[in-house]
Amino acid sequence: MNEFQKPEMKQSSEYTWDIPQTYKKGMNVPARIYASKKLLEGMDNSVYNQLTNVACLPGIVKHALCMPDGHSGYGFPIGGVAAFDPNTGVISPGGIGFDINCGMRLVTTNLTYNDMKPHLKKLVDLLYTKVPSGVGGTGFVKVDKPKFREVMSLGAKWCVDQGYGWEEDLERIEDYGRIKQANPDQVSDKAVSRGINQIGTLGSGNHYLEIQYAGEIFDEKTAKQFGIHSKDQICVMVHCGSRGFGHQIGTDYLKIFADAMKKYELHVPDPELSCAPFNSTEGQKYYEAMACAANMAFANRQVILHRIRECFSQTFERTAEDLDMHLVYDVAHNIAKVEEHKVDGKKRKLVVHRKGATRCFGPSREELAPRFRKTGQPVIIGGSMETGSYLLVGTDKALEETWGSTAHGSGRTMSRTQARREVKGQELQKEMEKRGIYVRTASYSGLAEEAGFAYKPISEVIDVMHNAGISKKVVAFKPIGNVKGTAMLNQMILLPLLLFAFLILQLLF
Amino acid sequence: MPYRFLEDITQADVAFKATGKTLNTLFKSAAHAVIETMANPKTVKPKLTFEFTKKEQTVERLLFEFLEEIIYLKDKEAAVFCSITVKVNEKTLEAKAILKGDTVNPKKQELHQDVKAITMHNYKVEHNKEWKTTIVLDI
Repeated sequence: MNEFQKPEMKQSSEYTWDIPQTYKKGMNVPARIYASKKLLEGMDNSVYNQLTNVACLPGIVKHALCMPDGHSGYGFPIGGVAAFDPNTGVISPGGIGFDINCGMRLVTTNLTYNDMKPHLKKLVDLLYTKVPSGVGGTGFVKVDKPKFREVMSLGAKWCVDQGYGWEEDLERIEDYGRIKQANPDQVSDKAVSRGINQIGTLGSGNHYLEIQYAGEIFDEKTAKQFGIHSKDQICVMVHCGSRGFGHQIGTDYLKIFADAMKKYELHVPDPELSCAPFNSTEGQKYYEAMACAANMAFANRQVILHRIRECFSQTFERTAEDLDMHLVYDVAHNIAKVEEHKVDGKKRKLVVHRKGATRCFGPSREELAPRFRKTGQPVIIGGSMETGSYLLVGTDKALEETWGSTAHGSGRTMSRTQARREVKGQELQKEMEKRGIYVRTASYSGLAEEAGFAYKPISEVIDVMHNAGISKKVVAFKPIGNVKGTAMLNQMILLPLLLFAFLILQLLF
Repeated sequence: MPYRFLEDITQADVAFKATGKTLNTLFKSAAHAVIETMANPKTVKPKLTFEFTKKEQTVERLLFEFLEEIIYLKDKEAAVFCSITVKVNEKTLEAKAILKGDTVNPKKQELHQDVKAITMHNYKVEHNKEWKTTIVLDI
């Protein structure tokens, strides 16, 4: 990770660091990193190389950006943001990531920390069994291929139409939970068969479902408008994406774009930056397939919300409506979208790539539902499972500086192997429980890899974007219960096993 | 098995280097690294068998497609794996594989990470005295 030298950077404001266009041959625009001096010094050198590679892509507008949680990725750094002219520019799967529309969802309750405490373990155990996670996890929603095409086209709306959610949920999701350009014809059969059984599953890695309480409220007025009324209020946060379906679309088009690069005589410094002109046949097909994966991810998180409401309702013997389990918002942080932005005072349509970066539109944007046109959109940023997470609000300043984008998480500082060497998963689980955080996981090695010390301090990342005026702090949350991206007994085999056991008992007695 | 996991390539994901005197052993080594990233193969029983064949124009593409198929089967079949038999025809660049494993069951298996994809990050297959490759898996 350290084979590249840090470039000389010019500090253009307290939190922005610029790499000039002259740094590397082929750069079409300069690069800019948002960070404190401390965070900048902690960034691995690959970030600079990858960010300046992004600046070399055709049709990139104004600058290649990196958020303060930036770390090395493939093609783009994680935390990378770039906008391209739709006529002269490209679309690149490396600027979106394999987990298309990986994102965050935040749900309120009217419970307090004290209400939750006696029920916490029972509830986390229930969530652990009802929201499948980890390797090979399959969901309870069973659909055939025609129905899955509807999921690809309609996203979260399909779920609400099927009874997996409330009508009000839709206006609280980025793009109302549905990207209209989705075209299932551009998706391979392989992607469909890989993802068709995964609606309502978390996955593994850094994906999670977390019960949290409001620890600090920075902006009471906005917090109330978002549904957070007091400290100690219990909320639920979900982090996951489009699962194997999106991963396969990313893989499929990486190969298609490798050939398209030759066809369009495009040259990029890294094969993971393979791309196609946005307006080319290949570029449009990928955009339409990517939108299908994005819609599947919105549907995935919607079904998980439905399960969360069921689990809370069962545990507290009250309806989800009575528990005020409203969705605060759902944001994508791995996606490309066509958006209108001002460039040198003129409005232009741009293809904005956000890879490990969150949209944070201010109140002026028409894309937001009316309820957010006075506040700006809610922005959900998850930290490590030990440190906590944040709810922020988007600003119009972000539209001027970052194409309306902000950070997405903590960003790792340590490899997975190193984290496993530092702590054993079982020890970490016990230690966290002593500190009041109850975790369920079937993969202890996976748990160790996600230890808090393997990540940057989330508060420093948040403070950079808050102080820079890009996204403003509203509430800080503390974790108390976590279902970590692990695995559960597959329901497809559990049911036949139970049936078999039942038949044996019938025969015996 | 001639493969080892690398720490200095990626923080968020998993990287490994695999080697082999022949393409057969290279493919087998790389496949085992992928299998072990998902679950401890010693805890997975060989109850299910999956056979597949891949044919490509280059060794790089063949290995990429071959490993990608294992990731695909993991999701499609909700399975993890314990062993693989590989036969690579170096002249026709065709790889035939018999993969054994079982449906995911965390009560019986030691599960690790859900691999999203094989990446092309620093990806190459080299042949000097032996075959070698470095692969980064997106987690």
